[in-house]
Amino acid sequence: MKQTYQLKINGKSQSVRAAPGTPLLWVLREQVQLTGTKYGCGVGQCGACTIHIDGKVQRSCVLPVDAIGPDQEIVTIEGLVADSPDHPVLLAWAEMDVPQCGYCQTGQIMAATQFLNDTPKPNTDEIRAGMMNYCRCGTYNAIAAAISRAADLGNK
Amino acid sequence: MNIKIQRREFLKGSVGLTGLFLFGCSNQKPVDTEDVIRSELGVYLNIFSDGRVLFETPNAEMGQGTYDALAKILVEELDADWGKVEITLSGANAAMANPKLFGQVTGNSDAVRGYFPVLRNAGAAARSMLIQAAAERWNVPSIECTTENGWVISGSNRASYGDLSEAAGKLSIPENVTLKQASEFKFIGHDFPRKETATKITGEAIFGIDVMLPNMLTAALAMPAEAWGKPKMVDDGGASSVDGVKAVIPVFGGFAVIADDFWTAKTAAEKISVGIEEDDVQRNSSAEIQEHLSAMSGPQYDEHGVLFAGVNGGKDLAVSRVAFRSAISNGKTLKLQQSVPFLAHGALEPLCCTAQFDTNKLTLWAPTQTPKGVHALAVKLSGLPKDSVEVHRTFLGGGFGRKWHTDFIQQSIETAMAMPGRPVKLIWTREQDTQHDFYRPAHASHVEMGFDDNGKITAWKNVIAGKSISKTWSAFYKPEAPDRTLHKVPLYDFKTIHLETRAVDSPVPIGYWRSVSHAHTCFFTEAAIDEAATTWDRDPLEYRLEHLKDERPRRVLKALQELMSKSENDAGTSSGIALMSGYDGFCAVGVQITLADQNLDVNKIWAVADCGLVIDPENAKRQIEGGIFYGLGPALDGKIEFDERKVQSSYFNDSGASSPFAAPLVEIKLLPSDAPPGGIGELGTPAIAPALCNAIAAAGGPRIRDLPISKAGLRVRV
Ligand code: FES
Ligand code: FES
Repeated sequence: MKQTYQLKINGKSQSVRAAPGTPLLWVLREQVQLTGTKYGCGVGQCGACTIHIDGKVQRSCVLPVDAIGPDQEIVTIEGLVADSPDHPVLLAWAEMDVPQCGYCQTGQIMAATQFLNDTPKPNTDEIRAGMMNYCRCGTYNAIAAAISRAADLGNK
Repeated sequence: MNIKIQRREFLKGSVGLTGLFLFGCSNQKPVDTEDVIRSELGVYLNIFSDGRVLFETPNAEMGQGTYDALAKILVEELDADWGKVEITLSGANAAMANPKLFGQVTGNSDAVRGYFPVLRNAGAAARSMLIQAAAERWNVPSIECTTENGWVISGSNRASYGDLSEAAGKLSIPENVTLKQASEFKFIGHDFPRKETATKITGEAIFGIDVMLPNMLTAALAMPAEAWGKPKMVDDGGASSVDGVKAVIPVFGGFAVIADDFWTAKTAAEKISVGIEEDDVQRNSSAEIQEHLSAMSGPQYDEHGVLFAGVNGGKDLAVSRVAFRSAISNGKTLKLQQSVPFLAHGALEPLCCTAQFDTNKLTLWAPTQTPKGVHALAVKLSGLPKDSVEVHRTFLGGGFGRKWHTDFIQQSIETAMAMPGRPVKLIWTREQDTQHDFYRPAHASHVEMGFDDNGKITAWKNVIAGKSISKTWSAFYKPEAPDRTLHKVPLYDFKTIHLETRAVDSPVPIGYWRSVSHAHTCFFTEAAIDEAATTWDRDPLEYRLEHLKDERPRRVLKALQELMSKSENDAGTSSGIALMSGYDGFCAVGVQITLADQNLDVNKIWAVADCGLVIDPENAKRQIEGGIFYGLGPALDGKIEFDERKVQSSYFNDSGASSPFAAPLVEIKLLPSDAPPGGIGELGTPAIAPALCNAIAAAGGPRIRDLPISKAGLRVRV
């Protein structure tokens, strides 16, 4: 049976209806129409569904909606873009034209913003060890370059 | 350059046509709304009176960058203001057939190669009509008018394209157009930020899975664990009575659960137990299939041989075999047996499609490589007239050949037809995407080389056994024609060449996988020639040059040599190279590895390509790099294995996808080239596997003849 949950998404509290156990990913995509967060594997492997919760990177495909409290801050790519359209990561991604098919990229960006918070001046090895999202188009080096660029922009 | 446009090419419905249509339209509605008048010629281009230039791209955009590349080709000749150019994905439109293919389909790296002349002509014709409209307005001869960045100019007169579009749209399309010289190009060969990048960054880009429609339902599948066989429902498990489930219906390949939302549909589908009907299909494990293939490529199966290319161009198999025997009778020979496994496509976006069926109309929103195939299938399944079926396209979250198939489209149509009046979005799970693929077929190869006294290869025989992809498409399969999905003629100058195929019947579903036959033939050839070089104690690159007459691949190899020379002396490392030719281009790949105690590390990859005239140089490099990554993971540890018909992999990490953790640096160099545009999307994939195996041998490791490399007991990081 579906139940009602209170969630705080991109700064806005709202109620959603879902069966207990429904991963947050599907709630965001289908109930809140935030389709920038993608489904790639459903088992926490690929990172296409990466979002932030309380400032930490989370893979929303393995987070049941009922495990999230009403005051926890959920931020999706849409929230990041609305909140900081000039975020160095977004600027760097655009400048370096990173996406190919683009499907993994919103997840990559959500992972990268958090990664740069934790590691503001990363070297190449740190980027490689820190960025865990798959890209089937093979944009890994473009992603690494964009992260370095974002670090430069952010540290200006 | 003066090109004559065939008048008939502008007629509706003709194949390979160039079409354009200009009209003045002050409202801002997108062109696919019902109330905008559409000319039968308006297939690619619309110029609005407010100055916007709308290009409808015929091709799928799945990461390869043709979205912008095709627009740039047209805009180059049109001389429009790039800032005013908007691009949309067209619907299925028979008038948009790729002249190199057989309809509006995306494949074979043919987008630029096919549409290049079409779109240049369209752009040039439109420009000439705009000029004519301006000339008539100003009462000056056309010859005194010129264009610049979206304006027609004559002396002190200036008029924007938008201002002229209505008048221009009433003119007839010119018979002849003058095309630019390459030296005049402002767009082609110059990098511009990709127009769709912003939406892919913000999450606004609409992929197949993102289609959201009012009142929409979602469908998930229950499919058998077996990758082939006729599905049968063993037990519904109560799926149909789950809260929120609207229906459980049989569909192609299994059963669909249609529900309010995906999670309800998916969890209900998991309750259903699906098996397969009894049948008499033999050989169910991939190990057995591969064993059979290896045997097939050997002499005991000679009677199954089909000649692909005969000695001296001969057409008779037996004669060619005898000629080959006599060519190698006096010298040293080298024989080897090789194999490659089945592979999955693994696009990051799982298969999905949305459809809505109303009594007189079927509408689809499909991430597809074949609008043509989707439209035809929808007409067939719905029984509706052609005009009542509408196919909209979305971006593809990767395609790689998988979205050329229409199994998921068929399921989508079936779910929609079960729910008239409501849109239904079908989404596969990752596990289903991996386990119900049309796999890159496994192949086995037998190579035999004969040498002259100096170690030069003078005779080359290659027998390849595998399941023919083209044979699975009865419409395209011509038994009398060489099966290009099984074999390729190597570009080396081996005097005597005998190439044979042995098409093997097998129940495994197979399909086109990024670079298709090159993915295996490049490995077979490039690993074998390297082995020959080692046998004769030659430098592998110089040895290749000895066998190459054609200047383009020679230049590519030499440039690779130079690029790699900087890293030649890195301590403890070894390197290997391989050369790929195809899609009207050449790509040499070099790789540096460290091999210590059976641990293999891939340190760095280089590639040099000559892919003819390049539209977007930076994108071409990224495509080659992405193609290399697409081949790298499978080379190291990619395989799809069947046991009792059940696929043993489910995810990216157990099917050979290149992971972020082990991605080496890649350095790409494009050589300037006067040749016509080549295809870039698949050029990078094939050569990485042989280059790696060659590097492993150079490091004193095993000579790998069977992929993936992990099979040889090396520890790899994928
Ligand atoms: S979809 Fe969540 S990690 Fe892949
Ligand atoms: S850009 Fe296609 S999967 Fe990353």
